[in-house]
Amino acid sequence: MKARIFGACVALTILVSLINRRSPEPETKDGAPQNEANLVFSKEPPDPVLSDTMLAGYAGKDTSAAEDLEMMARFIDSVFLLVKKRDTADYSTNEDLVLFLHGSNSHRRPFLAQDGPALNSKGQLVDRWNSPLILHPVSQKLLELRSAGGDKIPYTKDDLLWPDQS
Amino acid sequence: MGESSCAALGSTSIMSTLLNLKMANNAVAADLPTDSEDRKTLVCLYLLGGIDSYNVLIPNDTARYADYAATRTNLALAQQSLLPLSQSVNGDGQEYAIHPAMGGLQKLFNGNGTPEGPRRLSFISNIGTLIEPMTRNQYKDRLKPRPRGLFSHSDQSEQWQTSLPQGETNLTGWAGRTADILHDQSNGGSKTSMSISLAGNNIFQVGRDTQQFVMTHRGALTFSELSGNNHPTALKNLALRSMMEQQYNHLMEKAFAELTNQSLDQQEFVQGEFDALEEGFAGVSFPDSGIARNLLATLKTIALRAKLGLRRQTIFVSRGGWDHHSSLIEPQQNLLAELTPALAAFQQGLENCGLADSVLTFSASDFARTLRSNGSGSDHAWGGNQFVMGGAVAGGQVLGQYPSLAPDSPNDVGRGGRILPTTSVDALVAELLLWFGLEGRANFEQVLPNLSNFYDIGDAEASDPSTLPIGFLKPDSF
Repeated sequence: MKARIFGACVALTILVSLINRRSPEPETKDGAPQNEANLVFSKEPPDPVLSDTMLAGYAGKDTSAAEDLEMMARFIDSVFLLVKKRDTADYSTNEDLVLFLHGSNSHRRPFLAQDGPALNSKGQLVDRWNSPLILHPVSQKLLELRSAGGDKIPYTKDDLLWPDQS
Repeated sequence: MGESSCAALGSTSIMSTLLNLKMANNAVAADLPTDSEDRKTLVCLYLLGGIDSYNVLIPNDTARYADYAATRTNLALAQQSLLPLSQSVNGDGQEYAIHPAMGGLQKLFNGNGTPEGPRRLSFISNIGTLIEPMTRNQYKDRLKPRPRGLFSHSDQSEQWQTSLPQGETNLTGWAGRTADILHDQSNGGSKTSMSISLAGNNIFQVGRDTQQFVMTHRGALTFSELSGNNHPTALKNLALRSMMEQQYNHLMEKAFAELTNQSLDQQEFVQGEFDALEEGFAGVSFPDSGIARNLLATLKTIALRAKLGLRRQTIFVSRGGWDHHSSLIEPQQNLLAELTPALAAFQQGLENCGLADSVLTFSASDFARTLRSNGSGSDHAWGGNQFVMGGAVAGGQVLGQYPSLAPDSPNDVGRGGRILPTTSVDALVAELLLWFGLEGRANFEQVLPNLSNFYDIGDAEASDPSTLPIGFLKPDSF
């Protein structure tokens, strides 16, 4: 886990320097893309996205469900660290957060790979049991995460929470 | 997960007590007004967590109830269980009912047709945070500015209390900004704070020059509280008192000690007056619950406003626990069953004390909740229904534009039925402040910078409620 966090930090540093080298993108007055449907993504070969490193091993055999949730939370926090203009960005639901992570953000940059173990076929962020993660927007800075746990039924005793409420 | 954190907005900490010192100290030298006329109190009942207000005020005609039931599925209340509302002739002409646990508010809405049982309550439908009016397409295409942090607790709670959905560097609440303007003007030079909170510190009552005076249901926070035992707070209080009673040679230290001692004395004076009002002073019995105790303390504080030298006063009361993601029906039933009799007792107490016409209570909450069920609960949404209550309210009306609750209706911005508000918080606040005595375009612009996006304050004529931002006040109420 420590090696993974170290790797993530390195990736984050590289990504920050890449973003800082880019010329600023045109923005609307509230700092958000005008329309999710009109987003124009770069045609260049994609840069490595943050999730490649930060979600490596997510829901795999070497992590626990709690570690998965922590990994996802750290990933989201890191994206928030990079994308500071989020005043009117909408990431209050799983689906909206995925749009945000795929580029509907003020940087117009994807941070989440288009596929992988963190996404189901509906494009939702999922836990290791393939249940959609449940988001609880406490503030712009804090999204609480809930996994429905092994029984796949949310709001039951085996749910996993981030931040941990125990 | 966040349900618990939602309750952490306010706290009655030592900081509150220290802030109170400034307020109470100033009262020592206050030149209290003697005129007993023209006293008004605004009471904000804040429902922390986001009440599911589409299960509070429900359409009750066959077609619209069918839409409600189809959208809400397992969250829909059975129609036969609902309490029907009888709107006055000024209402919107539609049929409504309220939650079965809200019998006390049904009576205040319907009245009984006699002077002894007047209509005292109206609802404002689909109200929420907005910077300017917008349609669903304007929202989706981002053609109009959106409030910051939509659908999140702390952002939306803050915006209801500040009426600044775009945010501001130095954030103040609309009651605080109002106090900045009205306190000197209306409270006759009294330096007692006009902003009293029974829910710890809040942003609502913070102004540029104004802080709230924090109380508990037992009265003022004093340094002598819990004296005479070994409770840590008592020991801390004794230590502070002891420090202030030392003999100081340094002029600054001496002045500070004297000032603080005066403040402590004043707080104890307020406490003494508060304690002198026995529970039955208003001729009404309050239920045994936390919110009832706080509303009783609110009633006492209003009854004491003349002694405190206040012609204008705002009081903040809150009840948390409305964030019902995991289960809605039973927990909301329990909360409403606790809240309703407390509110009814509060209003009855005001009537008995002859204060009904000079107190206006309104509800507020972070947001309404999604119309569609997430399984057994509902999630964060946007526009919802709130009430206004008091003698100045033309009761028995559902005001604003109650939205269609049919699936994917024109005001539904998606993700489970989140309704775009059609009435702004600014409109509600503007009408409350007209009643409260705020005057002049510049003052309204200072308190409500976005108001002109919704309403021209110059249009308000006291004699004609149809000219008011929403129209819940009786004619000639201000």
